Amino acid sequence: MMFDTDFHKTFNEMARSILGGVAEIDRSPRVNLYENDDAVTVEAAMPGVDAGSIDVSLDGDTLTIAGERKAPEGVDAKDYSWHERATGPMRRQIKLRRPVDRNAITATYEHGLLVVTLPKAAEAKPRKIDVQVK
Amino acid sequence: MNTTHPEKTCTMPTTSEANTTWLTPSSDLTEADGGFELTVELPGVTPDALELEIDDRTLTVKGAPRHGDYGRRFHQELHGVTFLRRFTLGRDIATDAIEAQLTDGVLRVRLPLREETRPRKIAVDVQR
Repeated sequence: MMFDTDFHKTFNEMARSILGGVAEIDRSPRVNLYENDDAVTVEAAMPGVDAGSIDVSLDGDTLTIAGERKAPEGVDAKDYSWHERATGPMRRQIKLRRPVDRNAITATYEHGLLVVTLPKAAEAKPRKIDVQVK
Repeated sequence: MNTTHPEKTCTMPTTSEANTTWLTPSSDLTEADGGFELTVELPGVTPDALELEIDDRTLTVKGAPRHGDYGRRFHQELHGVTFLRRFTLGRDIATDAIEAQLTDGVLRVRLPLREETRPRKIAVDVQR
């Protein structure tokens, strides 16, 4: 496995059990993780996040994805008939177990999905070995 | 049932929907000027993949997120699912005037009240 997501899961489950499922604590975005020969790709669901607040950083082998969804302006708490969507900062950390090329990381945000592409460092890429036939 | 307020409906997939993995998206309902605004989170759903249907007073929101081809998927929390949620609208919602917009994976549905059911101010003629 290339990542540690258990803490977030445990925290969310704990929060849900304490709050009795009344309030939705969903501040760490759901992610899909992909890998091919060239890159590791992280896809994070961050619908309605202010694009300018999105922050992607890599510290050591820990990738941090953060963003913020502001509460809509001019809407008062009493205007809500129900309110399940979390507002405020959201954050998720993923531990990478493959060396990546730190200078070549790219990120795009489209249709509420943040896609972070982390090209693998040369030593992590599969390599073809020529067989010398004698 | 309240004649005005939209309500959350128990979202039971129909028989034809039984072979899909459904996920109930989070939503908000706010009172807006002259009606309501329903906000539904649909990350990864593109406008052409969104199905928004009104049948009598049941509003159905359905859509599968689109994912890129990034290789082998080794961890998934949002793959192979389709968002599905149904809401029951009050009788006073003008269903023919519903408008919807999908931006950054968030669907906003404007649910206006019928003209005749909107609150109106009544001028009081004060006699002194």
